[in-house]
Amino acid sequence: MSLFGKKNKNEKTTSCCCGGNCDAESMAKAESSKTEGASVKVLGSGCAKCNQLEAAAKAALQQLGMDTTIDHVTDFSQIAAYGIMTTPALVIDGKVVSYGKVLKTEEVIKILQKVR
Amino acid sequence: MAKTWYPVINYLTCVDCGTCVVKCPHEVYDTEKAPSPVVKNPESCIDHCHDCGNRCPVGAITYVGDDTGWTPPNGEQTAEEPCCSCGCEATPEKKVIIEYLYLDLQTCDRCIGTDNVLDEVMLTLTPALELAGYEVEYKKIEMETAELAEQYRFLSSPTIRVNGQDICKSVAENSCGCCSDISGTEVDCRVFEYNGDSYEVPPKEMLAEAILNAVFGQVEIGCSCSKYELPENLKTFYVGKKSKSGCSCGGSCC
Ligand code: SF4
Ligand code: SF4
Repeated sequence: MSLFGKKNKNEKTTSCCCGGNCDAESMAKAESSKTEGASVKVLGSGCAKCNQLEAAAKAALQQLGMDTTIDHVTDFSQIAAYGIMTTPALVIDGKVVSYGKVLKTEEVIKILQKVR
Repeated sequence: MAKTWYPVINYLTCVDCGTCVVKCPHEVYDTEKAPSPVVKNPESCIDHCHDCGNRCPVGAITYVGDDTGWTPPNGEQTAEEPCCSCGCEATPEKKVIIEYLYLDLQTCDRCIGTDNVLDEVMLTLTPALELAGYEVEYKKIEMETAELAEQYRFLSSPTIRVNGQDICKSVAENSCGCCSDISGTEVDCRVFEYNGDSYEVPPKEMLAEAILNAVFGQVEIGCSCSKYELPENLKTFYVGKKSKSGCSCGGSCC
């Protein structure tokens, strides 16, 4: 078991591909922006679908009395940093909680209640 | 260290069973929130593992960054250990396999009789089952040798199986003159019990009812195949048949 824990630790220390001083600068930027900015993000190129999702997310945050700041990420390299293959996607606290779906307000509320 | 690979729960289908949280050994899920699955440590998730998604009973789990074409096994709960290897549980949903296992179709009145009745029943049922979208496979297999009988876990002659399960819950037998003649020893064959009566040749209604019940799942027939040994009665038959086959007619001279 101790061995297992050790292995885990090792993995964690080496888990960041760039360690903050990676030479692929855009990569680092994309990575760091994952933890910066609003805690709720909508990823998508800016088409009607992601605007719909953004509106739903906003309404959901409002109804729950949470901070309604939403980042809309349209930059493809940033979207790719999340591993997303189908947009629009919803990210809450740095984690993708839904992708490829235009969620309704109630659905976003349900997700927010679950993950927070 | 999977930054772009971790489970995404579809909370609209998730039933909060907690299977995924319990099954993941990598602390990806927040155990404090269990049984609700909340991804807490996405970095710990093992790339392309799919373990939780494969276990989710409602197919609510997909993965960020999944490029494998994997789709959640929706709604189907995959049994972790099949109860046996005889294939009785592995039949895909919309297929009906009817097997008729018999000892002899040349001389035995009972096997021939049952065969005829089954043919008639199948003639009527097959179009109906096909209409209902089922693929029907009707097989007749002669239990020629003891090896074959063992392979098919043959219990009693004649046997009718639907998707690998005997339509009769019990094995009742009485002495069968024809088969006794074939083997030169006293051999019992099956009697079919239906509505309180015993039949040497099963009535049509009985077969039709049994097949339909087996297909549409109204009868739970337990898996009877965990232990199998060729019944003494059949051993006698095969031994007798062998010793008699020295006869010029190949054993069917009765
Ligand atoms: S994919 Fe595997 S490692 Fe990742 S959360 Fe599921 S069970 Fe855990
Ligand atoms: S296994 Fe599926 S249904 Fe059960 S808690 Fe996890 S996501 Fe929900």
